[in-house]
Amino acid sequence: MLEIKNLHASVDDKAILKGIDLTIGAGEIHAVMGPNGSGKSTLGGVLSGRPGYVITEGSVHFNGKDLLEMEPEERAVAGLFLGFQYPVEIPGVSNAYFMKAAVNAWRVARGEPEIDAMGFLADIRKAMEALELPTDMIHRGVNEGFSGGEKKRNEIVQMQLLKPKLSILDETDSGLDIDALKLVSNGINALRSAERSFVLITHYQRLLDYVQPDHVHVLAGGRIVRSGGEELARELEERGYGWVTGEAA
Amino acid sequence: MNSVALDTLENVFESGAWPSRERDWRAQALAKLQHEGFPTKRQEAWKYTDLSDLDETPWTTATVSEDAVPDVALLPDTDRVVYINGIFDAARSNLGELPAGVELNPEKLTAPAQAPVDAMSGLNIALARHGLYLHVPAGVALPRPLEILNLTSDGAGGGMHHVRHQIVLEQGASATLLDQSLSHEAAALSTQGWSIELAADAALNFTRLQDTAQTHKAVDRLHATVADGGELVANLLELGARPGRLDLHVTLDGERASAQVNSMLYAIGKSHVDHQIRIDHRAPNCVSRTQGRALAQDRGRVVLDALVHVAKGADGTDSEQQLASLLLTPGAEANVKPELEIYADDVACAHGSTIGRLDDDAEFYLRSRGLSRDEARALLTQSFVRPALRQIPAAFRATVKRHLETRLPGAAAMENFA
Repeated sequence: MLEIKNLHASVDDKAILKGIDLTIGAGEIHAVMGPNGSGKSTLGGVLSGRPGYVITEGSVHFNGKDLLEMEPEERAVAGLFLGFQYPVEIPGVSNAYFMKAAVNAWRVARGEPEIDAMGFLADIRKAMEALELPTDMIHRGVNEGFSGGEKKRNEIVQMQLLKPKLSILDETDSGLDIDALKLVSNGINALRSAERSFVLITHYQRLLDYVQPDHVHVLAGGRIVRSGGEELARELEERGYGWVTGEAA
Repeated sequence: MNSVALDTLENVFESGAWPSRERDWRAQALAKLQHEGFPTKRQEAWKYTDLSDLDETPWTTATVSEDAVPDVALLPDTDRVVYINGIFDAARSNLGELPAGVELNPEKLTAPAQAPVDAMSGLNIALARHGLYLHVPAGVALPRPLEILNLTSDGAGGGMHHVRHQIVLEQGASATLLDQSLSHEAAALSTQGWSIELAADAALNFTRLQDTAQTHKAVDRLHATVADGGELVANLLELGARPGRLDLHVTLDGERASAQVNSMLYAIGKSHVDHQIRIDHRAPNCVSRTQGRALAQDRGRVVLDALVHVAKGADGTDSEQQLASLLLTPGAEANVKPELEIYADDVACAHGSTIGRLDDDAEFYLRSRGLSRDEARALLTQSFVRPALRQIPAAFRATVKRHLETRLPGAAAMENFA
């Protein structure tokens, strides 16, 4: 599904990613953990095509295609989704209009007809109800006036509607209370399948109590310094990052 | 004064064969122009809009011609008066049955309600031959929107034309007016003047759409007075010409009169568009709202000056002014100025102005969900201008959408623009 080889990236001439190797197979859930400033969000940004990063070395292939050559919207409709750490508020563009345009862009890319308005409204209503978001938000501006937790849940609503092949969730769990965390986890688990993969970028092990990862990686200083199974996350929770990053140093 | 234009204007005026009863006020208006000369950048109101090259052109009167006029998608279910190069065109006009007592005359000009306030309105009053005269009696509502098309033909290059409209809505009357100015590539000068009087509780929704060529100069002026409880909604879209200029002056003259002015300017290519808006609160408890949205792209330039003046004694004034501008590409320019002058005590006046670019984070967010760059930018631009388009009547929305879409790649796929 995704093959990252020796990926180096910098921002404003400062090297952030210093040689990432990571292979994600179909149906797998990978957790990428690490202390602040380790490059976790940069990895999400680089994969989704956020402007501002310079790739200095390495390659990324997504289902055989050179991901780094693709525009952000081309990556999206190829099936890649980034759940934002800080979802953007866009007053004046309604959630409904935005998401319908997005869903149709994905459908058109797959050679499917555009969704009809009624069918779309039924889908978005169902997804919002599942995340316990008030359905009147459908017609409000994108994330406009949403609380931090509501914005994160709205990311999961979008993921539910788009049904990506690969979802990269950048600290979607941060700032959520325990009830919201469960809703978000349910949303992720509901999409889990043999064809879909997830990268959960997270600071804490908490989310992994609800979404069981196949692999856990620790990112520190722009490199993956340790990989393991879900037991690694628990060990990190107990012993702190110093244990692995110290070991790496 | 050394001006080729003013010298030739004298001849143009003298050869006008004006009815003798019109000669006095026309001559006075011409004298105003001759005395002041064309506006220069030294005048505060013309600081950003340069008309000095008018001086160098020996302007002639654009004549009625059968050459190409701009294509207009005709709206269904409207009454329509068409002017080509300032002359009423009966063949292209379409007037259905109007309610009893409504007087509509597309060729009638009466003496101006007030003397010309500046040189350009002097030019308009002196030389306008035709114009819409509309009088709607008390309590009557026009059954359909009334469309005014002000067209410049292909052969009008080097020529000028003028129309002047007079609109009176008596007590409790109401109307919807749609005004479009369009041209091809002719290098022409046009002026259009409106005098609008709304009696007590009369209501007018007026929409102007100026989208002439960048070789065209459109210099227009609208005066409106609103009596007790009257309501004026003015949707002003300035999309073309260089310059495309509109001076709007609304006087709220009776208690509880209201004015909502929605100004949208979009300068693209080399166009230069300019709205000068002035709202005078002269009576107590009047309401005014100004929404300005200015967009500039390429080498385009937008100017938006909006003044709210609250006279002594206009207590209970409720006024809000929101002006925002967006620079879509480097090299574009916006000059936006909100102004408040308050001489009454008990008032609630708010104003604000912003200038900015499209938000990169918002653009990336939309693209990360699969929208193309053009679609994302069109959607963000659309959300920016929407507050200025909300009061455009349904009959005119598709027209407005079409004019905006040509400027916004990616917008064609969009649903409601307003």
